[in-house]
Order: sequence, then C-alpha cells, then structure tokens
Amino acid sequence: MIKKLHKDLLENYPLLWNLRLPGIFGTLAIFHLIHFLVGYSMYSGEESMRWHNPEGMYFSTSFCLFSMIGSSVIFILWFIRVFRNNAFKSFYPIGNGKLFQEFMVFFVVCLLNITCYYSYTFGFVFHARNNTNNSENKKDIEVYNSVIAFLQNNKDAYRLEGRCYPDPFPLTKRYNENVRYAPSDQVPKSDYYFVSRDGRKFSSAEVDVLTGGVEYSYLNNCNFYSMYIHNESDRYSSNSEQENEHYKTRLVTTLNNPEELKANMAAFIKLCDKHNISYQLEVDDWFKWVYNPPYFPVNYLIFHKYYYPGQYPTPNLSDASVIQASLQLNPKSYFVEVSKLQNILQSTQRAYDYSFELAPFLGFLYAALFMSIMIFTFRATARRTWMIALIGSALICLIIGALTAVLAFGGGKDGILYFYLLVILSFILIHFISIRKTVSGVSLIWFVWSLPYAFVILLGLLENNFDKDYFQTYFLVCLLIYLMALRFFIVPRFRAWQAMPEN
Amino acid sequence: MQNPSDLFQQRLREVANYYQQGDVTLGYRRLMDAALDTNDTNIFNAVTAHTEWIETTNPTDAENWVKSTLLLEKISLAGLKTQKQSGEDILLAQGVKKTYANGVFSLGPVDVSLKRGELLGLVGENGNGKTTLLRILAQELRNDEGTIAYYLPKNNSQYDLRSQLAYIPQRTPKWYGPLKDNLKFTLACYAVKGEANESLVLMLIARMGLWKYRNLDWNQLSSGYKMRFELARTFLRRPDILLLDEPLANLDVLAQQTILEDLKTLSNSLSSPMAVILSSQQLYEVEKVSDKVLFLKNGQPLWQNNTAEHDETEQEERPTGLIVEFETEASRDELQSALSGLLLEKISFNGGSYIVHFDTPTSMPQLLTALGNAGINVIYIRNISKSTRRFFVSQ
Repeated sequence: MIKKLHKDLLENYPLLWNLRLPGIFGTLAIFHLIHFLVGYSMYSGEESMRWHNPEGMYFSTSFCLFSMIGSSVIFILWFIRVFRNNAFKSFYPIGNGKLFQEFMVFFVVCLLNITCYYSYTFGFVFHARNNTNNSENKKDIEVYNSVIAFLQNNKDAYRLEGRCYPDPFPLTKRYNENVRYAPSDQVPKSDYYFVSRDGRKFSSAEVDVLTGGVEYSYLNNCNFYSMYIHNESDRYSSNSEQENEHYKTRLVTTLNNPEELKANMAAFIKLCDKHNISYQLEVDDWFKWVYNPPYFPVNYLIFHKYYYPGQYPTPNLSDASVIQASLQLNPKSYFVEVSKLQNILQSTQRAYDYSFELAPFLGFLYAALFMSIMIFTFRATARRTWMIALIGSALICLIIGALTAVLAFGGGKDGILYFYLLVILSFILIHFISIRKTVSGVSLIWFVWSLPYAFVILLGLLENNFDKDYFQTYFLVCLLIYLMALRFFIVPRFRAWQAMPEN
Repeated sequence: MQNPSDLFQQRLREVANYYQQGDVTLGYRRLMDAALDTNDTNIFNAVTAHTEWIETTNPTDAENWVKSTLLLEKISLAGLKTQKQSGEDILLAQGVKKTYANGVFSLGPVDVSLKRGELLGLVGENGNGKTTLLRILAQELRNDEGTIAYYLPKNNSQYDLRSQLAYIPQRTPKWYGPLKDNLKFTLACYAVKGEANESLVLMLIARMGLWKYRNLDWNQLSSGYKMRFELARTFLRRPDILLLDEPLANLDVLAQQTILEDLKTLSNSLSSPMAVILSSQQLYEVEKVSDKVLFLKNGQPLWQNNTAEHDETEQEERPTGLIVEFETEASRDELQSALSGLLLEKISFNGGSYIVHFDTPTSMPQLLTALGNAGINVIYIRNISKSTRRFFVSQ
C-alpha cells in the first residue's frame, strides 16, 4: 500500500511527493499520539494532581526534553529528504502558486512539529476528567474555601493591616515624622496612627476600641486570595480585590453563624479523609480557637505540613506571644497538609476548565511562521546567499542597535520605530536596484525575514495601550496580510531572482 | 524540405535495413527514436516490454528481428505526432561580449544563430571562453554587451525562459534516491502524469541504454552513465535549447561516441526537435555530429562554419588546399619522395603525426594513390582541411 501511495504521489502529485507529505504527516500524527498517550499515562490518580498543574506539567517533566529532541530529529530527517529534489532550482515549470503551496506546507509542518504540548496536555486532561467528578470536585472546593480563612499558617495574614471592614476599615498605618526606623513591633503606639481611605485619621487608641485591642484576628483576614481556589472565570474576569470582598462577606457570615462554621470544619475534616490528606486536628478544638466573638483573636496557628516531634516551628510562625499562647493552650502540635489538598482540588478543576486558548497558540503560530520563512528562503535561494544573509543579519542587528541607541538620545519611541520601518523598506529597494545577484538575494531574504517585525513596529506606532483581544485580532490580520504579500508579491520576486543571471 | 511524415516512414525503412544488415544494436536504437516520435503510451509500453525481453532472454538476431518487425509495424501504424517543427529560428545572439571584473579575460564579440534541430559544436582549448559563452546563452551569466533573442513559445518571464533552456554543467550535481524516481519526478513536474509518466520514463531509460542501471544509486554509476542519466532527465524536460558544457570529459571513447550519437538523433527528433550547443575539446567527434562549429581562441570566434551546408564564414584566411594529418612509420624523406608528384606545399611533424599541406587541385584520392604506389604503410589518416583541428596542429 505504501508503495502504491508512493507511486501515485510521484506520478500525479510531484509537489506532495517531493515534500514527503504523507510521511511527515503520518510521522507527526504518531508523534502527537505518543504525546497524547504519555500525557494520558501521566495521570495516575490524585497523587499526580498533587504535583502537576495540567497546563504546565509538560514543561516541568523530563519528557519535554525528549519531545524536543524527537521533534528536532523528525524535522532534520524530513528536511534532508525534502532537499533531495528541488524542482524550483532546477527550473522546472514551477509557478508562483506551487511555490506558495510549498511555503504553506513548511508552515503547517512546523506548526504541527512544535505543538505536541497540546496533545500531551489533552491526554492528561482527558484521563483526569474520566477519573474525577467535576460537580463533586466543585463541592469539595466549596468546603475548602469555606474554612481556609481559619487555616492560615502565617500570622501576618491576620494582622490588623489586612482588615477591610466595617467602616472605617481598611486603615493604613502611618508613622509620625519623628519616628526613626525600627521594627514595626517595637514602635510605641503613640508614634503611629491610622488613615482611612477617605483620609480620616485614627489614633492607635481609637483603633484599639474598634478591634478590642486584638492585633491578630480572624476578622482581619481579607487578603487570602492566593489560598482560595478560584474557578476559571474568576481568574480572568475578577481582580483580587473583588474576590476578597466576596470572600470577606462570606467570612463575616460564617463567623456570625457558629453552627455553619462548625459544620464546615467537620466537612473539611471529612474532605481530608476522602483525599488522604494527613492532618492532626479536631473539630471541637479548632472551633474553640476560632469562634471567640466578638473579636475572634487568633491564638493558634495550624501547620500546613507534617509536624515531626522535635521539629521547631518555621520562622514565620515563631511570633513569641502567639506561639506561646497556643502552646499553653494546646501542647499537641496540629497540622494539615493544606497545600496538597489545594493542589489536588485546583488541578482537578483546571483539568475541567482547560480549553484551547488563542493567546498562547499565537506564540506557536509566530514560531512556526519564523521557522517556515527560514526554510523557504533556504530552499528558494542559493545556499551561499542564504548563509551570507544569516551571518550578515547579525551585523545588521549590531548596526541597527547602535543607531537605535543614538536615536534614543535624540528622539522618542516613534522616531526609532520609523527608523526600523525605513530599514525594512530599504531592503526591498536594494533588492530591486541591485544588479548583483547575491546582493539582490540577500536583501530580499532580509526583507522577508524582517517583514513580520514590521507589523509589530506598526502596532507600536498605532496603539500604545492595546489589550489582549486587540492584539489577537491584530496578529491574525497581520498573519493573513503577510501570507497574501508572500503569495502575490514575495514569491514572484523569488522566482524572478532565481532566474536572474549572475554578473 | 521533406514532409515529416515521409521522413518518419523513411526512418522506419532505415531501421529495417539496419536489422537486415546485422546492425541490430543501431537498428534498435533507431527503432526507439521512432517510437519516441509517436508519443504513444502503448508504443512505449511495447518497446519497454521488448527491451525487458532482450535483456532477460538474450535472443539471437533472427529472433530479435522477428519481434522487432512487429514493433515496427505498430510504430508505423501509430504514426508521427509532431509537437514542434525543426528548422525554425530559435536563438540569435549578436555582438555578445563579456569581461570579468578582474579584467583577466574577455569574451567576444560573438555572434551565434541557431535553428531548432541544429547542433552547434563549441570548440577551443581550456580557458578560451567556451563555458562563459555557454553560461551567457543559458542565461546563467549576464553579458556586458550585445543582444540575445530567444524565439521560444513561452516567454512571459525570465523564469519561463530559463525553464525552456537546459544547461548541463561539466560537473553534474549528485542525484539522491532511486534514479527512476528522479526521472519520474522531473516528468511529473512537466505535467506528464499517471501511466504516461511511467511509460515515457521507462522508454527513455531503454533508449539511453540504462535499462540494467535503472535501479541503482547515483554513487554506483560510472561517469559515462551519470551523464547518460543526466541526458535522460534533460530529454524528458524536452527543452527548446540544450546547452552542454564538456559532456565528453572523463568519458571513454565508446561512451563519447554513444553520447554524441544520442545527442544528434534526439536533437533531430521529428516530434520535438531541440537546438543543442555542445562545448568540447574532442574536435573530431564534435565535428562529426555538429551542424555548425564555433572555434574560440582567447575569447574570440576564430573560425565558424556550417558543416551541413559547407558554408564557411571564416574570420581567418581560408585554407584553399588540402590539409591532411596522418601517422606512418615511413621517414620524412620517404614521404617527401612518395608525394613529390603532387602539389606538395609543406610537411610538418609534431612528434606523433605528419601534417601535410597541398595546393589545389590536389585531392584525397590522389594522395591515397600516391601513398599506395610508394608502398607507404599508413596507420592513421584524416582530411583536416575543413576541421578546426588544423588550428591546433599549426601552433
């Protein structure tokens, strides 16, 4: 069958045969399948979710290195086979359309070759989705989020500076002008004051009245954004301040409803059991430490990891007063593997939220475009000309860099950008006016290489504050324009150059 | 001018004559030339099957003749399918000059005119501008002065022009992969697809005597066969003008003769004749097949003739008498004595052979008679009166 396919392609579709299209597409399909299967096999239950984030795990494993090596080997072998025949350089009747088709094949092959990441990630996500329950995970996240504010192991999370309700909070601490630098804990209360967002001043004594003199309180924990597990839409549509506002409201509601608080704590302990999370914590004790209305002081911090006998608390837990108080209250050391639980729940949610994102894919498109341009120019020109262009481009970059530095002193950003555009246009001008084939070829190659950057430069000239959507649209439009320019202007120039006699 | 169809039938009769006179190999080559002129896939298939039969069974001449007769009948019935007419002007270069940047060498001015079906031999010693002129005519190199006009069917762009010119440099580039695939790829690029592609490729492989070698790799071929594969590829392209730079270099005498003969017959194809320009230092061989010869010396066209019409347009003083080159064991005195009855002008000896000049009206038969009468044993003799050889020996 392979022989028949080979014969059919050779006799009827010489371009496809020359580019070894079935071979390279078949190889890349297998390569992607391998990535999918490896990604699939990387999911081995909750333990794998503990260590890996579905979106980034490809780059964090050694398989990424093997993948890059494999990808390069496939590419080089294909490259060697393709370059065995070159109808264009042999002056066979190859039209502009055929030449452009060659470029498009290079582009697609390059794109497929560098996007194995997607197959790998889809494999992992696919397996994870098949072995977890999204709605159940969402409920687990709800339980986790409902008590995480009482599980912070950093006392700074409960400082007064973090409090944001009721009015006049949040307050900013200001030191009197005569206060010299000293650790904040050692500065006397008379040496600082507080300012609300609307500019009202409060003395330390006034604030003490509002807080009952409690500096570390569960009510102060308004900045635990990073500990919460957010859903996909929250991550992109909300900012941390809005998020905190939302969780703060929930926190206050919970603290005002002790039965719900205790129920949530019990649910959390069950959640730990369900996900094999190590802990040493009892609901009654935990509730007792947390539920101390009206000021809800923090008397005890719970470790986030295993506590081994003889192990001393980590420095950020060593606030003397808090630790001493807590140790007196609870001679046992309590801990919960919170980060493990967070990773499991979060990674599982990301596996469900994972979808194709255009923004990172544009990066792959850009890389594929760069690679295909390099290959195309190599194939459509003489080896010597291409090498001169490659080496010369380093020199050109140096010269342009030096001139940019000069321009930067005299003019603004626009002047530099106009200068870059001028350089790019001068390449095509030199191509047309030079009667020396090598010079004409090198300038043509430089023009083709630099043209995509012209769009970036134009973007800089046109728009100063472009957002993601604008950039994506602009990029796609530019890609389309570039391909059109290639088809109707650049490819015919390569054809004309190839036929040009030498001097 | 003879009607192409009549000429086609006449060539078929010549094929039959070759077979009948025992020149089976030559006859079969001519038969394949005629088969190519039919442009008929069925004929190509029949010829390649016949070639396979010859290669595998090694038949006697009689057996071969019987089968070949049937093939000839098929070819005759298929008839000639003319695509291009020979004799039409195809290239006219006037006052072509080229000086290299370092000024060491300068070519021209040179005038070249060529018709479809003609073969121009470009001769001269090394470094006299043969390759430069070829590359200029192939549009590989830009000329400083002069005009070059190509009368070709597709002339929309410089690339179209160059796709109708085939230039084969002295060192042919290496082929990669199976040889047959390379040939098929070339043909497919020229829109000859499917079964027609396979048939024509095999047909040309058979015609070029490459049947046994079609499944080899490039590195397994000798220089002569590499050149023949390169020629096969070029003939598949059916260029209007074929330019070859020293194709005979590094080839043995037999390979030289075969390639020259192939060039001559394929350029004279009735269905798609092409103009050929061939540079070489093999004077006799090139002169034998060329319609025209251009002799370059120090970049200048020293002498140009039209051997087909015997119409010389010399730029040096034209020799009027008989000039003969020969080798003999006889001494100079014996030779002088034997030729004393003829209008002998001078005898010169270059260490290997004698060059003898006679005044008119001395003729070749008279010379042979005189040598015979004197009992002089001649090893080799050639009339070089109209050959560029005389410029080499006179130095």
